[in-house]
Amino acid sequence: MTQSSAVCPSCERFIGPADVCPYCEAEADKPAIVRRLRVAALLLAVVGLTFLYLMARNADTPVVRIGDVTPMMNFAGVRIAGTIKNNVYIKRQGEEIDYLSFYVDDGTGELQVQVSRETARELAAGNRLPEKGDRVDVAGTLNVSGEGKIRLRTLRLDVVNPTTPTPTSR
Amino acid sequence: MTADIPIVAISAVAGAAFSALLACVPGLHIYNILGLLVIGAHALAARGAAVPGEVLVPLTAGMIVGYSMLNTVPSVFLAAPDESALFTVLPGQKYLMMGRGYEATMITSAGGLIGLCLLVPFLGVFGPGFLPAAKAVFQRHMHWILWCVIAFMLMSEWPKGGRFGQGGWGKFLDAWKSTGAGLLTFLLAGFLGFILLYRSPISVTAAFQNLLPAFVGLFTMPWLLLNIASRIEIPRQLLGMSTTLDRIVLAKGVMAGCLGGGFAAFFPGVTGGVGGMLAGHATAVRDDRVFLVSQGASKLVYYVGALLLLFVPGLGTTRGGAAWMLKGLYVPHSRHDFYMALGAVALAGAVSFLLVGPLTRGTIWLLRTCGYRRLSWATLWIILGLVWGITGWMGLLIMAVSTGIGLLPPLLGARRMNCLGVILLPLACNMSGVGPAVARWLGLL
Repeated sequence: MTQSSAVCPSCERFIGPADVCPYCEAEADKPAIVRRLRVAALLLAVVGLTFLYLMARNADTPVVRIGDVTPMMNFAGVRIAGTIKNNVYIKRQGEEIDYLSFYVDDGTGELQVQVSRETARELAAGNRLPEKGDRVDVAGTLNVSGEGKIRLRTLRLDVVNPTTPTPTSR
Repeated sequence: MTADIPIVAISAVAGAAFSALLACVPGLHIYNILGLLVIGAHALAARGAAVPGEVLVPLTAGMIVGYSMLNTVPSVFLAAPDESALFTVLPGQKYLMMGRGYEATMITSAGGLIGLCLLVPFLGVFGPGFLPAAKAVFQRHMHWILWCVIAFMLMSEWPKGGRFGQGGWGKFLDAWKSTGAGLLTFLLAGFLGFILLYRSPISVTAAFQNLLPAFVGLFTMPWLLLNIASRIEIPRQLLGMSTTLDRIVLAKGVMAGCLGGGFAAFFPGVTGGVGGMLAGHATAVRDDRVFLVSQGASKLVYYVGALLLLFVPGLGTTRGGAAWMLKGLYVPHSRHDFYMALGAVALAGAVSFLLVGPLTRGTIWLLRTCGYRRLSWATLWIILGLVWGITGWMGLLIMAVSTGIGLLPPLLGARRMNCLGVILLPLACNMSGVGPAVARWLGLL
């Protein structure tokens, strides 16, 4: 321990990675590897994260078929395209919408879609709430339970082929 | 049910013994191993041979208990203080450098055992009545509690330099070096968390281990790399106890540990380390022995408590990686599952504690025979293989970036805990309802 560069050469107190001893202000000679590691770590963190971000930003969310969903896909960010099979359940909190829930069938299987509060309120504000029979394209996070129940927590929902046209962009 | 008891007992003991052995490998986290177990269980289920709950539940519980009890061994013996520790040499490391690593392990494990002895009856008796009520009360307040935890974590990263010399930019920058490193680490980790949560580059077929490469990079790799770069010589270790643990030391340590571990297990995104830090401040833990006892109790209560919450009837809460992974395989249905899990935890706790002594001696022998660096190299290759095997090349890329972030705190004198920004920041934003807006602003939605 006393041989370590983590100890101040002057007062012999433990100073860790500090270049100057905080107790006596003596210059502590750090091994080259520590200095290089600092620079390498900072570069790797900032540059690596920038490229990772650009890569993620420019990637498309993978489209999966409901029949192909496996438990290993739990938490996966995916897109599902299908038709709403039932009446849309709207859970309200007072006057405001809390969330929407409905089942989507894409021909290979069926899953429950839960639309978050923010997305649901956005859809309601734009008079774009989905209805039974609408063809939708939903992106979100999969949740697969041990009982085989599949749910999609939706982050983005597009009604691509509405059954009842409205005056808005639908 | 009676016929199940031997199966449950054997599974719990096997899980505890298996993970106790693995826990002694530095940097190998039980969630990584559980990931492999999940893959195996899904493969069996796909072939029509699903693993029954009477095996799966006690096996997982045993593995979690074994890991939380025995993980103390590498955290004491394979984390010697070097250039990576500034001012804060943890008591376990102090004991190690005084040749008393065995004692530190035993004191920590004693805390873990007492923590477990309190957790099991508490959950068994009060869990089904008290916890759902507590959840109903806290549910609407979770988001601001989490923001308070984050604020405290960042604000308690005190400036370590800038105390001497003439005033000016030099002194100002010196004072902000470690604090700034902590903030930078938290923000970079948080940004990484947003990328992984909203547009993960990992293949959808390995999504259940989405955060594995990030956690390995943020916590395990820096530890191993610094071990390899380290020039520390560990003194010869004594195999015995030279201090006594009186009731006051145990009571103080267990109280702090159970508070921290319990808080971390109940509130989402908060880990045992954060809970321990909060409880340490709240109860003003100063004595090294109290600190070690509290660490043992906190770790056990956090890991095991989080898993057991999944089984508490009427609670419907999933906390911690183990519970999330198990939930993908098995959903608890009744009190039968709850009491089975509690029984398995108790049995695994007893077995794990009995293994602490022999495995600590084994680790000391291994360190003497193989050496600190060689062990770290071996683990490094195992970890690389594991990350590549589960998440592929993309996982290795994420791990490399995370390693850069994870190296910042130890090299610049900040807390490693700041790396938890990877889950804390996106989770706090999501719970406050602004997560999707932030993700959209970042172009990730």
